[in-house]
Amino acid sequence: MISEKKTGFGNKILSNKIYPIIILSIIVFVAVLLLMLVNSFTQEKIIAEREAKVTNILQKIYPDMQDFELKDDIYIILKDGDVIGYSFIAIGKGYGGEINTIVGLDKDYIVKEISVLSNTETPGLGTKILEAFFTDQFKGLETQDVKLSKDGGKIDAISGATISSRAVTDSVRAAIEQKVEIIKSKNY
Amino acid sequence: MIEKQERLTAKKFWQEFAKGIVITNPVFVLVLGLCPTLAVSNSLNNALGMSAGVIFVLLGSNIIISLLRKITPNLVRIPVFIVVIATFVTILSLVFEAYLPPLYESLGIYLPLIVVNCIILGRAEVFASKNSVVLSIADAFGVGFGFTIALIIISFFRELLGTGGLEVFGKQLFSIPVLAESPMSVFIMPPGAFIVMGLLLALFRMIGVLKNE
Amino acid sequence: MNEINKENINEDNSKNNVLNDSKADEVSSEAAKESIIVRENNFISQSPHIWRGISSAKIMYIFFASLIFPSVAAVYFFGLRALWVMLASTITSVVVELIIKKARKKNFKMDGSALITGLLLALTLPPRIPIWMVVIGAAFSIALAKEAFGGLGYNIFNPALAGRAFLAICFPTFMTQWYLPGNSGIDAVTSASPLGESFVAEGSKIAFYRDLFFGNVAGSIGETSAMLIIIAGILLIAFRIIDWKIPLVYVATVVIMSLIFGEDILFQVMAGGLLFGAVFMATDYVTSPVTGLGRIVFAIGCGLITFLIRRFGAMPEGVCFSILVMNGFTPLIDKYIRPKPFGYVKPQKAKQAK
Repeated sequence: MISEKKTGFGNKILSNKIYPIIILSIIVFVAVLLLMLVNSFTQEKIIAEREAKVTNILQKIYPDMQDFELKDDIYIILKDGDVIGYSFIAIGKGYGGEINTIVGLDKDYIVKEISVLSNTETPGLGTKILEAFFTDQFKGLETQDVKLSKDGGKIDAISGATISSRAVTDSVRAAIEQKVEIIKSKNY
Repeated sequence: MIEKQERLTAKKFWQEFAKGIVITNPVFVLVLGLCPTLAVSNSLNNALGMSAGVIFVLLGSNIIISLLRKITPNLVRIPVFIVVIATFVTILSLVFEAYLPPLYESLGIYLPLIVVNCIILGRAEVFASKNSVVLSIADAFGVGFGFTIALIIISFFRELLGTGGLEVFGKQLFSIPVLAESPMSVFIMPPGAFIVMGLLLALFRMIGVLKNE
Repeated sequence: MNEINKENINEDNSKNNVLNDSKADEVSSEAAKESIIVRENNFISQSPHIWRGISSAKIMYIFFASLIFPSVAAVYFFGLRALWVMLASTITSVVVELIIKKARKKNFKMDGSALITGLLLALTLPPRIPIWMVVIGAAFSIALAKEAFGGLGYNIFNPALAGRAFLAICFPTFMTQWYLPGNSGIDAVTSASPLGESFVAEGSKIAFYRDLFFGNVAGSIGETSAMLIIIAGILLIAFRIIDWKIPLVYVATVVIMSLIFGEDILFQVMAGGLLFGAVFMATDYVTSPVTGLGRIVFAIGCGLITFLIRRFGAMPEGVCFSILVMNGFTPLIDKYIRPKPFGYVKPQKAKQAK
């Protein structure tokens, strides 16, 4: 890449053994500076965007929410300074990969609502876990009832998508059991 | 004299531009960069977002690498390329995350993976590191648009068959009545990408063969 | 034996020659020459070859005739609707084959293979599937699973099963909606496939087995009647159209696995598409191994995978995918399991003889 026709001075620099190291360092340095600059512009917006997303979802579950706190991955929902519910994310192993579900409990640990955040299930079949007819079944259930009806609970599986349905249901139940213990022990 | 030279560059500029779109179309002719092509071509939206990203990174990296071509030692040229490309990709992903969060989410892992997209590294190595800045810009646009066109064609068929309709930037363009109710969802899944890609390649080969005859 | 060997070429064990439409005509004239060239490339089985005086088209039509049994059962149990499905599928298959042969500038020959693919595909579909889906499935079978690989004799996967798998992935809701026979009205009762988890047999066990045997159960239109499939299978074996090894070993493997895991053997054998797949699908010349031992390995593989999918998998039925998976293994099986050449003597023995 370096042409042979160079002045003696330029040639001396370019053929120096340390030269590649120096030029690479300079390029990396400039790149890092540039990225820091861009990051400082976008960081605020990105954090605000992420928070807005969480607030939006929580607002849907708890319409009268005023504020929330995040402790041990649990969102504690507050209204006039009082706790009105707890929300957290349950991770289940579905047919196509991880299924992340946000679970909203009221202050007596009864399921208020669940909503699937992200999934990689089969389109048109497993993705029915997103639909209201499935997620609405969770409303008002106590922990022990959050099971497929085949397994002795109160949730009807989506026909043809038992694995996906079970992944959501079981991950939600496991998460509730785990998080409620934390909530009780730490008295949030 | 100067005028003549300028005209020459202008002619060459358009030549390089056109070459990238048709003769060396990165997807259909060189069959390069298939990872993002197959992965994000499941909807027109994603395809357009991905294409915009690739054009931006390709343009940036081509310009910088072309500028640096005289002072880049051969020994560290690949690390230099990667650093330059990675910088642009990181800028892109920060901008996308801040201003286009839905697109950022649907592109997912394939946005940072532009770093290792062989189209971009390939253009840096083959073209930008050996040609002037102006020609590198022409090459970046040509290859970038070639990639965009390929992605749009693939995603057009995949979204149409896989969802039964077309949607761009949240606006439903149209939908096929029966197919929209029970779409052929295989086409928005990975196997569909291979089927559509294979059929399109076969079709273009067939047309090419016919032209030669 | 030698004379036959020189003059004629066998059809019995050779898949490409039996089924390759263009070759089948050439063989009889240039038999000896052809056989040497082809054999060196391992396209056909080892000599001696015996010409059975039966063309691939004839084999196809006998096979097609045997499919009448499950087809009649399909119409009997699921009504005219089943007939429409079968007609749509076969007509699409033949038309698509014609179009592609024309597009590829090859001779279209009515050898019955497209008819069989179409009918086989139709018989594996649920009765209430919309006709346009049947058309798409049949077109996929012929265009992508068969002709894209080079046509009859070159396809890696059984075209009918590939079409079924395509439909199963495309339209999972329609492909898992089963109806009990006799309900042809609009308000037909949706029912789980017998193999579905939530299925509970009503009435006594014997009555249930009887229904399974005669075919009065929910399922794909062609797979429900165990009795007719067994009759068709016996006929095909008697005419030596299919090899008895594949269906028998296939079913036997499932029986043994059911014994090991304590499943209901009769239920496992008669419910779902096992018998249909074992008799009509796994025995396809093109996509199953050439040698006897290879076929046994192939059938055991099919049986194992079928049972594993049924018992541990996410889907209630695994016949379709198990045969497709083993289709993929067929070239490998053919590579490692080769017959001894005729008159072959082990090198050591040959030395001793000297």
